Amino acid sequence: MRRLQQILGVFVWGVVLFSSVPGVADEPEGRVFYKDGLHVSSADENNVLILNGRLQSRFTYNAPNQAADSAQFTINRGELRFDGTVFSKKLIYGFEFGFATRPGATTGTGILNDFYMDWFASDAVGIKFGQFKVPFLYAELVSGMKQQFPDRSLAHDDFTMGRDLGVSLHGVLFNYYLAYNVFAMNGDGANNFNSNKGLLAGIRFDLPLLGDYKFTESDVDYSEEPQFLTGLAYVYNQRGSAIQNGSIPASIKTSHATLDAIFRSHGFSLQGAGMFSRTHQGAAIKNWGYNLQSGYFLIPKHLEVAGRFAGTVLGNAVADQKEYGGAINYYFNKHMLKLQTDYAYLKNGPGLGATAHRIRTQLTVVF
Amino acid sequence: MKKWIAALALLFSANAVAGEALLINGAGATFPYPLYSKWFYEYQKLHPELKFNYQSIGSGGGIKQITEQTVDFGASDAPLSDYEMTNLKAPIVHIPTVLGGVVLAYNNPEIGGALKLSGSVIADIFMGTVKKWNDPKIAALNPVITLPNSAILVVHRSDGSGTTYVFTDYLTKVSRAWKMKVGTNKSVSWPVGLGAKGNEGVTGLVKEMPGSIGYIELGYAMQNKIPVASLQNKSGNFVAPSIESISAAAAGTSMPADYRVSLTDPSGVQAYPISSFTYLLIYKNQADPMKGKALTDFLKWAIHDGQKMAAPLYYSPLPASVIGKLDKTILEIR
Repeated sequence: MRRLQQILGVFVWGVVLFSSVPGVADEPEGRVFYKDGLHVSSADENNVLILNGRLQSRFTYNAPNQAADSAQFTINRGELRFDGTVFSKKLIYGFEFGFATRPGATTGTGILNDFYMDWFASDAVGIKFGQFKVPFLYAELVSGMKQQFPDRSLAHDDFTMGRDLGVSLHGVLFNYYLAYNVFAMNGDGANNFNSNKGLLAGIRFDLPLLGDYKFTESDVDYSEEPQFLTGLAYVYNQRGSAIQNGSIPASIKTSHATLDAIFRSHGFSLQGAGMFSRTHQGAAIKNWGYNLQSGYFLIPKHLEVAGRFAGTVLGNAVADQKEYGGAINYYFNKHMLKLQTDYAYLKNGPGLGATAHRIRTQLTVVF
Repeated sequence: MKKWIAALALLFSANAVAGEALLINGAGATFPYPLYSKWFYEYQKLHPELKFNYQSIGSGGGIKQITEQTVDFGASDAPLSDYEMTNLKAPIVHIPTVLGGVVLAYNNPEIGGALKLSGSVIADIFMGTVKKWNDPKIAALNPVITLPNSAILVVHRSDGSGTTYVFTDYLTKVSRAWKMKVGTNKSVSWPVGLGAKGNEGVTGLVKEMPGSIGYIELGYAMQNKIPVASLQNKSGNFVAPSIESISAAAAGTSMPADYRVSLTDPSGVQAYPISSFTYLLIYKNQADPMKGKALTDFLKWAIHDGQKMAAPLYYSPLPASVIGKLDKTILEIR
C-alpha cells in the first residue's frame, strides 16, 4: 500500500511538473482531428499530415470447368498511406507502403508503393517526381479502394503500366477544360532501377467536359449534375518493359495507347476504355483490349448493382480473353467502408483454363 | 364516486387544453429569420391560440430536422437536392415565401467610394488568389475610386447554410475554377478565410474586422449599415442589391412545378445576380390535422398579407404568378 502511495505521489508530481513547463504554451498551435483519416496540421496549414490505413479483405472462389475448384482468403490490398503538404500548400507529398498477402504479391512484407513529391507552381504547371502510378490508364489512376468491382477487369491486367520511378509535368489549361500529364519514367515498374539508357515516355490528356474532375468509379456521391470526362494517353517504352504487357515479351520496345470515357449522373455510372499496344522490334505484335462497365444505385449512395463486359484480342497466337461480370455493392460510408460481391464468367482467364466461374466478396475499410 | 372523479379529471384536462396555445415547431434558415420573426409575431396577435417556436439554426439544420421529422416545418434558402428528396421519410412541399439577395458586405473605410465586383473576381477573392484590395483585377473594375494596399480578410459561414448554397451556386456558374475546385453546397471546403455561424455571425465578424469581406443576406447588411458591393450581372451591368433588382432576377425565370429553382446569374438587364427564393418545407401529409390546418392557414396568410411586411425588411415579395400557383399547392397539403 505504501509502495502504491509512493508511485501515485510521483505520478501526480510528474503531471504538475510537465503541465507547467514554460515554452510549451509559446509554440504555435496546430490542429489534430479525424476526418476520413487522422489529420495533423501546423497553425498556418502549410504543413499537413494525413494518415490512412487501408484494408481490402477478400474471399475468392474459382470454379474452372477443366480443373478443380479453389477457395482462398487474401488481403488483396493492405496499405499504410501518408499524404500531406510540407513548407507550403503547393508542395504535396504521398507515401504508401503495401502489405498485401495474395498471389502475385509479397506476403505480408512491406513494399514501397508510392513515394513522391508534387510541386504545384500554379494550376497550369506542376511537377511530380519519385515513384508513383504511371498516368496512363484511367482505371489504374483510380485508387484500388474506389473501384466499382472488387478489382480491375482482366483486360486492364494486360495493359497496365503500374507504378514506376520518374517525373511528370502536369497541369490544367483552357479554363480547366484540359488536364495534361507529360512524363518520363524508367519503364521497369515499381522499385526497379533502369540499367540502360532507354526510358518510358508518355502523355495523357483528360477533358472534363461536364462536372468536376474525380478519379473514382461508381456514382456514390449521387451527382446532381451530369459529369462527363474523357481522356486519351500514349506511352512509348524504349526500355522495353520488364512487366509483361499482354502477349508482348519483356524488353521489347513498345507503344501503348488508350481512350477512355466516364459518365455519372444521379447514381448511374458508365465507363468505358479501349486499350492498344504494339511492338517496335522483333515480331510484329498487336494487342487490343476493352472494358465497359456500368452501375446504378438502387438505394442512393448505398446499394448499387453493376455489370461489366471486358476482353482482349491478343496477338502472337495467344487466345483472346473475355470477362462477363455482375456485382452488388453496399456502401456503408462511400468508398471508405463498403462490401462488394461479384460474379464473373471468364474465358481464358489467367490460370483458370478455357472457361471458369469466379465469385469474389470483398470488404474495404479506409480509416 | 369513481364516476365523479372521472368527470372532474375530464373537466380539468379539457380546461388545460383550452388554455394552452397550439405549439408549432420549426427550424432552419437564418437568411429569412428577421422576416419570419415579424410574421410569427404578427400572426400570433391575430391567432392567440397559436404559438410558433422557430430556431434559426441554418438551412442545413432545417433540412436535417424536417428529414428526421423532429419539427413541424423546416426552412431553407436552398431547395432540397435530388438526393435529399430521395432520402425523405415523408413527402415534402417547397413553399417559396419571399425573395432575398446575398450581398458582398465589406469593411474597409479606406475604400474611397462604392465598390464594384464581378463574379470571377469574387471567386478569386474567396479562393485566395486575389489577396489585396488594390489587386489589378479589382482596380480594373473600379477605375475611379482609391483602393488601399491592404490584405483582404475573407469571412464565410462555418455551419451548413442555404446562404452558402446560393453564394456557391452563383460562383459555380460564373467561375469554372470555382466549379472545379470548390463547387456548390450548403457547406464547402473553403480555400481561405474565417468561419462564423449564421448570417448574424458573419455580419458581426465583418463589422468587427477592418479589411474583411463576407457574404450575407441584404437585410443584415442594411440593418447593420455595412457597405455592400454592386455586382456585374450577366448583361454586364453593375447592379446594387435592392428589392427591385432582386425581383428582376425572378422575372425572367420559369418556375418548375415543385418550385425548386436557382435564380442566380439571371439574364435580366437590371437583375441582381445573387438572388434566391427562400422556402418553408412542409409535410404534404400532416400527421396532426389541427397543426396541418393551422400551418396551411398561416401559409395562405404569409403569401398574401405577409408579403406587405417583406420590403421594409429588405426582402422582395413573391411575383403574382408564383402566388397564384402557391394558392393551389397549399390546397394539396392535408
